[in-house]
Amino acid sequence: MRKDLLVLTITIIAISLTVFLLIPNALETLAFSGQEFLGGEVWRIITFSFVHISWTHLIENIITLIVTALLSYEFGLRGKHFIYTFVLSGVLIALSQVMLAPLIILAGASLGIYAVLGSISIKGSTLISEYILIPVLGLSVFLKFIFSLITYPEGISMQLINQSFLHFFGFLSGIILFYIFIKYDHVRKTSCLRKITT
Amino acid sequence: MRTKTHIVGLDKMLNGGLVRNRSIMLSGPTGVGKSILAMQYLYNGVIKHKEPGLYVTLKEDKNNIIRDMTELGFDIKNLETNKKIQIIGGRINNLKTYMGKVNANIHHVITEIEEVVKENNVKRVVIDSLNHFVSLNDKEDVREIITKLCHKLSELGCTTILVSEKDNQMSRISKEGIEEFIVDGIISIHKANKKSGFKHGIKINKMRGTSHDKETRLFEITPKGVVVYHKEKYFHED
Repeated sequence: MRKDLLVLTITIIAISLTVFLLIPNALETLAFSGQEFLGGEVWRIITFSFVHISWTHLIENIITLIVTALLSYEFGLRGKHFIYTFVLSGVLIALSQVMLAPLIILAGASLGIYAVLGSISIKGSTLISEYILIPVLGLSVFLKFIFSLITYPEGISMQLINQSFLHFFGFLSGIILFYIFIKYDHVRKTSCLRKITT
Repeated sequence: MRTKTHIVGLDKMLNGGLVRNRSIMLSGPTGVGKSILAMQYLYNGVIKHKEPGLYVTLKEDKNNIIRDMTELGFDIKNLETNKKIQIIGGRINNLKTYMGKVNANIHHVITEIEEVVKENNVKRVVIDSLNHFVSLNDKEDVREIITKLCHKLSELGCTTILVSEKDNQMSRISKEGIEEFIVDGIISIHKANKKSGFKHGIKINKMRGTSHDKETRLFEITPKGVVVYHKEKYFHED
């Protein structure tokens, strides 16, 4: 794996593990809630991505993160795109959450991870058609929901439905952010002559 | 269709001017007035035909170019402020450093030139110099790069002068030795010598789409810009 992706993946895992093991009340102090955020606890908009509610939640996200990092490497997503997408998607969705559902609490790296998957679905279209890649990766967002629907439909909770939709918005924000990055990158690269003009 | 340079004598040698939408290489050793001639071509385009111009500099800063041309009586500053002539670029080392920083390549530079041409409806373009431009390329075939640049500018309806530097001793017209096969026309300038009365020489080596004067004529940088004496022959010093 490329060094930048490896470092970023390890860093996200290390921070998540540290928060989970060393900060017992992380859910109360670092998770995102619209109310607390508006009350002045602005750090929550970044820190919620590193807070996990259980071992299952943490391990599930670590596995998805590793798979996503490997896919990023395979499809050539750059490290800076990876981390910008991971952080910015969380910020965007948390901000929209403030307006739409301020009482819902956000915790976990999954929003960022699915956003990176969204970016990969566009970036990878140079290797695999976007008509295949977007539906396949997009479907992974709803895997947990589909699995529950097949195995234990009575167990589908409102929380699971909310979670699936949030993951889907994460995926969508990743696609949008990727297009913004491409545009920004193009503008930067095609303004060299004008930038050095003195 | 012709694009008049309005440089005394040169349009006569060209039978009325440059052929529109073509790329012409202006070749010569250092200090013979290539950049002045090229800028004068843009200046006259704006003043006489209201045709916006673009000057892509890869060796001098914009302010130096404006200052030098002002000394010769060409009010480039005013035209530049009014966006009639755009001067973009700077020293090649600065450009290479910046391109490295943003991971850009020569194709991005071509795209940028294209964008500026479209934005300002540019009709006359100067690339100064082609040698520096080619040095931005580290991977691809030089021939393909120059062909792409010329085709893009031609498609956009521009008549382009590509300034090319060569040593006075060089028997070839261009440095790489392949540019002359790609461009539509070649105008070469020879350094002044005793025999020519210390005036430079100018010759049209090739011009697709028109007949032209085959002789080398006298060429001089005067306090009011460059002048071509289209009736006077230049004598090479052997």
